[in-house]
Amino acid sequence: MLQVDLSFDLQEFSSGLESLEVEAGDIRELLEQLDLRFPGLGAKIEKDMAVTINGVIYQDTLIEPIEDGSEIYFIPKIGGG
Amino acid sequence: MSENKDYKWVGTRPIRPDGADKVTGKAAFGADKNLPGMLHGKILRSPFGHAKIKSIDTSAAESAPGVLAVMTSADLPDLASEMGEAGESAVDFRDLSQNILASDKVLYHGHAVAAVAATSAKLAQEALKLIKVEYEELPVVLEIEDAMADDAPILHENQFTPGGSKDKPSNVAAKMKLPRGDIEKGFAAADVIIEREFTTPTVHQGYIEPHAVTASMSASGHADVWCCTQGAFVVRAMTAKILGLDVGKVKVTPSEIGGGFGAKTTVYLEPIAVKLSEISGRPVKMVMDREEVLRATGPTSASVIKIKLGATDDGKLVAAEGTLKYGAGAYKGSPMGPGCMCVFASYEIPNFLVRGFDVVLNKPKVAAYRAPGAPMAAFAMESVMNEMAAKLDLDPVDFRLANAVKEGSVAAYGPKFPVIGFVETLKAAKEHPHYSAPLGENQGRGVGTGFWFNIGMQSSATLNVNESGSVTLITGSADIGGSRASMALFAAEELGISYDLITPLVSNTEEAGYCDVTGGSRTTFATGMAVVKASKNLVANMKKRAAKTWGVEIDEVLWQDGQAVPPFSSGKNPMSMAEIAASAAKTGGPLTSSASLTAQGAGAGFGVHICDVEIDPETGKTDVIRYTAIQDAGKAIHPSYVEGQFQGGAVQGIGWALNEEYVYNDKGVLQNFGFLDYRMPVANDLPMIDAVIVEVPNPSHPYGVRGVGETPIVPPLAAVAEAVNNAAGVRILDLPISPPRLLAAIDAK
Repeated sequence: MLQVDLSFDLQEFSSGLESLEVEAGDIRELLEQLDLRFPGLGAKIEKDMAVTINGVIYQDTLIEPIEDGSEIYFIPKIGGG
Repeated sequence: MSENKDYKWVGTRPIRPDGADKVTGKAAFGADKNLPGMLHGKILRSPFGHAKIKSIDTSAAESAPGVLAVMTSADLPDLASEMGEAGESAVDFRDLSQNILASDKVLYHGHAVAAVAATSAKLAQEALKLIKVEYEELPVVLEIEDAMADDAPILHENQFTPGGSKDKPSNVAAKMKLPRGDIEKGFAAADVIIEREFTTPTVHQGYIEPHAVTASMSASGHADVWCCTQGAFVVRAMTAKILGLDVGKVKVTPSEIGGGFGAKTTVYLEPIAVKLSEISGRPVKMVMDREEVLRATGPTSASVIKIKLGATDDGKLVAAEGTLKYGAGAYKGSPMGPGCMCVFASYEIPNFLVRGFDVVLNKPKVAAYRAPGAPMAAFAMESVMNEMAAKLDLDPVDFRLANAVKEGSVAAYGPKFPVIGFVETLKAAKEHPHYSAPLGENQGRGVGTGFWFNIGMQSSATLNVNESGSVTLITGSADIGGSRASMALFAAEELGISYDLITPLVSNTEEAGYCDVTGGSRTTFATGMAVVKASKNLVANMKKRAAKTWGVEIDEVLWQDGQAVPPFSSGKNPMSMAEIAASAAKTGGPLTSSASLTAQGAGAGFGVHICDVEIDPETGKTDVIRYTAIQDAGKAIHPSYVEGQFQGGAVQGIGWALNEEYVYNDKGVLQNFGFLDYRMPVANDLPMIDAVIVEVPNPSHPYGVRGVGETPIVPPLAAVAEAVNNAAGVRILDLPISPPRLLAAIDAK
């Protein structure tokens, strides 16, 4: 089971729910599960956000495996100069 | 993945492969490309800061001497508003198209309106005077707070603030909120609270090479583009989108680049040059002058930032509140988001609230500039941290150490930090001789820190082994800071051959595998990963070739010092790369290896800068007399270029702090459009910048690399301001701390 925390901006999809547990083996499954539970959330994350797994930022990937017990957070995609 | 060990090549300082050509003037930059029959393109720009375009009549220009093509926005597809991935971050392609040639409105002085191609630059310039544009002038809005007012002139009638009125258009294009804990309770628990509001001006990246492009559209509709850019593939994507072409019909060849710092990750001239070439049937070259660069290309945002910080008497932060307003220029998309995410990122603060606002103004659309959004945020937060340390009578580095984020800390932007080196960097600053060196009269010292995320994104690399055993290394990552040397060092280390045997090339979009822009401190990290992966694959292939030659199992072959080593029992001699390459035809053909990846696990970078200044109380002039930049690089692949990044970022930050600012009149016309009046630091303004590399390896990279290009520009603004405060006894909250401003503050003391 993954521990997923939602930022303030994403809580509009979850009716204010800040944290939830999700079962998923990779980022694609994670977003699919979130979309099933809160329609639009997975798509929003895939389009605009990076996924952090135990603090490490994963951007523009669906295939990254996620170990059971990982902590998940989403942040806006990062650019740079 | 990272291993902390000694390397033969990684961490050494060989001469850069492109160095000799650059210092002898042989390197070809954007404006150096010439083609037979080439025309010269020029842009007509708006004389108003804000106006409706009522009509454009190009007929006289079209028949002017030497003119072979004239175009306006009517020659471009009318794109719908659509956010798309292009480069480092999402972009609205309609805004992008409107920015390079306005249709209904001009939104800033210098906004492009029409373009001409003629047989000489002079004739093109003359023809621009014949284009008749009828404008209806509108009021301009240049300041962030003015643009947010209810009665502000509106730039975009179809732009509404998310969550705001759906009937009343607004200049506030986006908002952001980052809350944690309970700030009321947090501030109630504070013994000391400091609240300050800071402003920073619009500043330009100040790259020495103006934008330049040469484009040629073939009769079959295939566009060839040569330009100076941080990302050939992003130029391809944007040019194709704006012109309605498939990306496969656009080839972009990057030239050497005379600086970019984030700003050359977008397009201004490229689609126009291609279209003018299509219309005229001739190649077209376009080169901006300095005035055009300053008036019409993207600087970075001005900002208004309010920070309220609460701490206990023993120096623990308990609450913080930040309101960050960033000017986006003419179209949405300031770096407000990363600014909000960075502002409290360096510290453990149990209760905070961050609010951000992205505000459009009648100024050029901003472009990326090293660590976009972070320097302004750090100027505000770090200045308050310095004031708080002084108020609590604490050493400013000790105060930061007591509150610094470390592995496992929950970052202000949400996730827990993995392995980071902020504490190590702070300790290195404290231990540096500069920190405790004595100061003289009218001198002061300041400290500032900075954070940047760093990124990965997509990269590719190809290694071709020549029959002599030397290697050609091809990537599509523009080399803006010595990355060719770093790529060659990675390959030399992995292959076990001399750095001198590797020729690293930056190729075009049809010959190199896809690479995202060189930006976000990603190239050494991500393209380096691709080079390492391709090298490992190549070694595996060469071991296989040797095994075939010897008739042994591949598992029995070792790779040592650039040679395949057979099992002792075989009685064979080791084969060098040259020998394996020479016999490649007999073992399966040419030796080549490619790797592509989306690099993940970029490691955050933290920096600490120490600045000494001496002020002249009679003139208000500030001289930086000593400066030390300390930063965690993870692993410095080529330490000289890491140090160069630290030094360059520090110098740009010093300019931002002391001198640089766009000065507009009340009509929105930029007054200081050249380097005489837009005052950037030059060599004789500065001391040697001492660069200190801290290495806390990033476990997600095979060599421990973190990006290093962004972070160094984050700490200087606050470090310089604090040094001035300690020298002059006045705390300046508005940048730049120019002589008149400092003198006025001293006089008012």
